[in-house]
Amino acid sequence: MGMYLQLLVIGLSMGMIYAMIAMGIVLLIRAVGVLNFAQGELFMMGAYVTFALSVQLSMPLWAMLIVALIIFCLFGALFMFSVYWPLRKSTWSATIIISTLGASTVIKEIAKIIWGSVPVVQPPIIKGVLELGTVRLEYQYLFIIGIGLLLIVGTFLLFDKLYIGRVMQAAAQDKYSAELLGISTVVTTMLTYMISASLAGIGGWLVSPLFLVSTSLGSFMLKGFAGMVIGGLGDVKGAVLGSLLIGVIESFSTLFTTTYKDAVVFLVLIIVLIVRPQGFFGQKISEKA
Amino acid sequence: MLKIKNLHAYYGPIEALKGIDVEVNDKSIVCLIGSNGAGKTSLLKSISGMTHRTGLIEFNGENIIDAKPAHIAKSGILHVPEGRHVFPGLTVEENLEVGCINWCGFFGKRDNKELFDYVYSMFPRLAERKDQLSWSLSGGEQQMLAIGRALMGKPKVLLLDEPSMGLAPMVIEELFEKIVEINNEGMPILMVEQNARMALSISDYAYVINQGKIEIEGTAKELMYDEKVINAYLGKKK
Repeated sequence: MGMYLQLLVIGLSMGMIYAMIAMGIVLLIRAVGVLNFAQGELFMMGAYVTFALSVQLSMPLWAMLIVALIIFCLFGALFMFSVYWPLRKSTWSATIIISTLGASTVIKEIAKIIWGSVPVVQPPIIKGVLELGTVRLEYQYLFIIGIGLLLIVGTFLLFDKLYIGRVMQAAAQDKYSAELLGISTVVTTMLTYMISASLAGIGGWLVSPLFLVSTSLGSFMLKGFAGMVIGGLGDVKGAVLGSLLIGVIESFSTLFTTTYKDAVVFLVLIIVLIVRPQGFFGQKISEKA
Repeated sequence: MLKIKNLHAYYGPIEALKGIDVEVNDKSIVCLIGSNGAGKTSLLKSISGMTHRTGLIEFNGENIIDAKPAHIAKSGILHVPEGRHVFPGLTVEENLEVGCINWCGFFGKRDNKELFDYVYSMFPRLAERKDQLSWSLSGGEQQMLAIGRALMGKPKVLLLDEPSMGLAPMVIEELFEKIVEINNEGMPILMVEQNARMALSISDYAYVINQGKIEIEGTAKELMYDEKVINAYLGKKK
């Protein structure tokens, strides 16, 4: 019994990480219609940047968080103006997708130049283990669930309850009439990129003590991507729930196999795609002219 | 209040407007008629800052030829685009709320109760459907929403692009009554319309635009009986 609880907590916390990546991807898909293949590298950068700030520059936690957030937002803006903005009027819709692929390689190589190709170690953000009878839970996992939940709910509230979020939704849905009403869509798009980069970056920070910090952290994006597809492409709630599901499936699959747990995850993805191609929460918004 | 002189507009190498002079006076309805591709929509887009353009566009004494769309909306020119373009995933009320953006800013105080009352009394159907997602509205309701959304932006002049497009005759009639009602409260309107007869019947002044140039202009009454206009745009009366 204790083991199942442990697996559930680990699964949910990894699911939160995937959800933060997936959410960022979905927000960008909705805002600019582009699948960002460099989201995993923004995630990886989150791990490296926080490592640099907290270990190499030995900043206290609060200062590290503030500086890191500013850096993530700058990353988001820089990313938008270099990878998306110059190509936005391209007549070939795959152009920007390819440019994000290129960006993912560039970011990876920059990280290698700065931090080298040997993985580095990030100390745990919160040390210690919670012991409940036979159950042993590292606080780090609980911390991830808490912060992840906070950020995901926060992002929902931002888009659903705040006026600025609604304006961003409007700009995402129809740029032309948003401009006519006086919305500066450069600003709303940039804000979306900043939020997306921050979600990925904080995700990278949260996960870095559990794994080594290396350029291969970028591959976490694949799980987030799987979660997004299972949830239903383009739906934020679906992406979050799908990612949590992926995390839990992955965690429980270690009961049978640890070597092939990734294979199990993607097998589930394939089965979902066959049985329900639109995903669990996918809805077809009928466009009325 | 809106004065346009020698306006040229370009889409890449194509010159869509070749020197246009148009004037909209206080409280009047001005309509632009002309065939497809004549440049009617380009003219409205140029006024709201969505094309590459040269010439003079003077609005309340300010030359807005180089202004950005956001600045133009803020100064009180609100353009209701062809094909309505409501925000499909937002409710009616949210659509209207977003319409306030040019004067309230991202975080500004939204003192919009009076505007909501005004728009809902103008279009009671929108009040009935205020929590419905706007993609689920009928064409006529979407057009009302698009106009209502522009009214939320405290316009000083409304630009309407093909308000009757794709609507049933009865709905068009109702919509045009509303347009006249809005105008009667002092709102100047510049309207582009395919349905020339209908448009002339409510307008004060009209321009016929052809191949990017003004071909004929005059009061709506004059144009209604102009031989050339009748032959080209109105059709013979039976």
